[in-house]
Amino acid sequence: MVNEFAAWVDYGDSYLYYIFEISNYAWCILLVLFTHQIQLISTRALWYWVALFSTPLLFNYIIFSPTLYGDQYIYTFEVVERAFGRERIPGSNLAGYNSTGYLAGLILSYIPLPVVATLTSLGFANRIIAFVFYIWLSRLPYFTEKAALIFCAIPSFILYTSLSLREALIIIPATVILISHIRGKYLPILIFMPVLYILKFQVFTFLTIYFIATVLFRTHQSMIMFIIFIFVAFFCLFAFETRVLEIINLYRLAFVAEDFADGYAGFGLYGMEYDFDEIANTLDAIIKSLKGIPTLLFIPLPWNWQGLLYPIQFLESVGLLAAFIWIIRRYSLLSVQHTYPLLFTFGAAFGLYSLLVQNEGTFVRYRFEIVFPWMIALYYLGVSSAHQSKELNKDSS
Amino acid sequence: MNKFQQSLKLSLDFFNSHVLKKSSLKYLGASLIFSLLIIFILSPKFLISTTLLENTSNSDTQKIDGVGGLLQSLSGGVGNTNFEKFKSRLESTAVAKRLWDEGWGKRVFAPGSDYPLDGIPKSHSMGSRLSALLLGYELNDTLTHHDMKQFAKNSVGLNKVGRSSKIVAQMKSGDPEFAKEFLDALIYIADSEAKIGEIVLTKSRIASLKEGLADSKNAIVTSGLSNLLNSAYFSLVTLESDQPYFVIIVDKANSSETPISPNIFLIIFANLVTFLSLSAFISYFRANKEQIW
Repeated sequence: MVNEFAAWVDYGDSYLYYIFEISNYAWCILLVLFTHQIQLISTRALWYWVALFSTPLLFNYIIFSPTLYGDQYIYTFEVVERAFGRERIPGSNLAGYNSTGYLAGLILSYIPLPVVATLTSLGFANRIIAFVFYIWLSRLPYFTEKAALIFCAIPSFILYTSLSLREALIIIPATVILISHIRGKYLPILIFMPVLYILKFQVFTFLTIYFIATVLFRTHQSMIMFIIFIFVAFFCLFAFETRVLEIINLYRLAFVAEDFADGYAGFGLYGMEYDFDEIANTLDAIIKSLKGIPTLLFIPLPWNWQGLLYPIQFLESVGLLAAFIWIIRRYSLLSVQHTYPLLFTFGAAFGLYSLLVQNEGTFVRYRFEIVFPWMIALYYLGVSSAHQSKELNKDSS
Repeated sequence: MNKFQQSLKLSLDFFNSHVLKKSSLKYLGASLIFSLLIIFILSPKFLISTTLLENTSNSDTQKIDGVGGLLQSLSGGVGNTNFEKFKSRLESTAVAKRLWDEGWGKRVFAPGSDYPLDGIPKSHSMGSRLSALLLGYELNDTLTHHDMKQFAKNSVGLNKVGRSSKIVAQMKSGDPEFAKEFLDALIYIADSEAKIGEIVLTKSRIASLKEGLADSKNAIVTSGLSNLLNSAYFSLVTLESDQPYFVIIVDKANSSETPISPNIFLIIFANLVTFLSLSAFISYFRANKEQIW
């Protein structure tokens, strides 16, 4: 229900829901057949995507209520309003309040779908984005189709790209940016960095740190420069302590408020009584961060499990960590200099997020926005450097 | 032939051989029949909506200093108070009970029947019957105000538009006249129920302020308490009037001119896409079965 002029009908409780969503699914299958015909995907991938395009039908209303991921309403309404040629929130644009909803709605509204009639429709739009991403990934040099299929089969990737969320618009551009940088291609970076600036400022910040480390300090080419960069980073942390801590404390409190009963409104009413643990200095922040990283790595922890989704997410986090270590060992990435700035920014992201963890559901999402792009980037770095050393060995022999 | 030309040729082949073919017409015909069948069994539903304004002038949220205050202003915490109070009341048992007592139960669940208000039979699904049998509890034979609460919660949507104080309440119904009356009654009762709680709170505040005033020996404190007492009395007078307190009704419930559901064209179009894709799917698999299987 958008406003009094919108004929938005929530079909979630009727069988019309299936009529509309099955037509979206059928459209996606047509797309898969077409890409198979023009030889963009293999037969194995065809079957895989025929199955995977059905996932938006399984989550909302079946496995859980759409209110579990309440922000789905924001993006759906944004797209519905655009379809009527109106603004969901008058005056909203790329700057200020609602810029994320505005831009996510704008991008998702350009994904061709037959029907946007329910909260699940944009899940299909996200699946189409994931499918295009898969095609791009599988056609990268050194990247095997099998690896691309495995990465696209990670449960969280399937979940977040099957709902009407903006996660696909964060995870996929971040991955494209990192891989493009490793490949020395700069156009995708110029296109996607502004998108991330609006949709997820934190991911934009971590990528900016990575670019400062590599472009300015050349840490991907020299270990000495990497060490200098670390010293400079810590020096800046201490030099701008007051400002940095002010921002961290603000975000810490913001997540406390978000996690409060009735959210910000509840916090506005009763938040004064909350005993807020403020970070006093940089050393305190570093200690708290180091203590918090293991928790962030494995949340949701067994004693906080509620429902089936939690153990799956826990097992996935264990699996992703194992995959991370496997990639580093399998391709001897510690002997590749480019690994270090990647690992440093990954660690910095985890360090910062570990200071903010309040709501498990939110941070499982935040964690995945970092783990997925960085893991694929490390994998790509591994396969490409392995290939290059093979070529070098061939040449020398 | 270069790569682009080859892809173009394959694309055209795909559309000519699997989409734009004679047998697709059969599927399109079948989709039309299927759509008509669905449309015939659906009943039209109208959109009933009412526009309200949140009354922010009487909000009693406390201001927080420092970072918390910044957050409060960022989140619009002050303005949310009355909306939250009103919304909670709208979905409360107390409001459902009042609606039930005023006879809405019969109008909602058994219009035109001879059943007494507390004798409207309640049907149960097989699942709930089985649960009751297995767990050993009794199911209600008649409808109660709890069913009214569920009806109000499921059928009425209350939303704030952005950060403005504008609130829109909406519901879908096949009987627009009934829905308009119901929506107006629900909003009025929800507001008056919220007022009852607020009156009790304000009276208790007045009593405490009077005690404080009697004990005060400091001129500044006495003056401050007097101001608070004045404002509490003003609130009480406003609360005790007949007018809505938490919301201001800008536009009473009105119905859309035409039904908003079912959307006939959307149903026909969705089925066309489904059947056309099905036709292409079957054709493609027949043509490439050896390669695909």
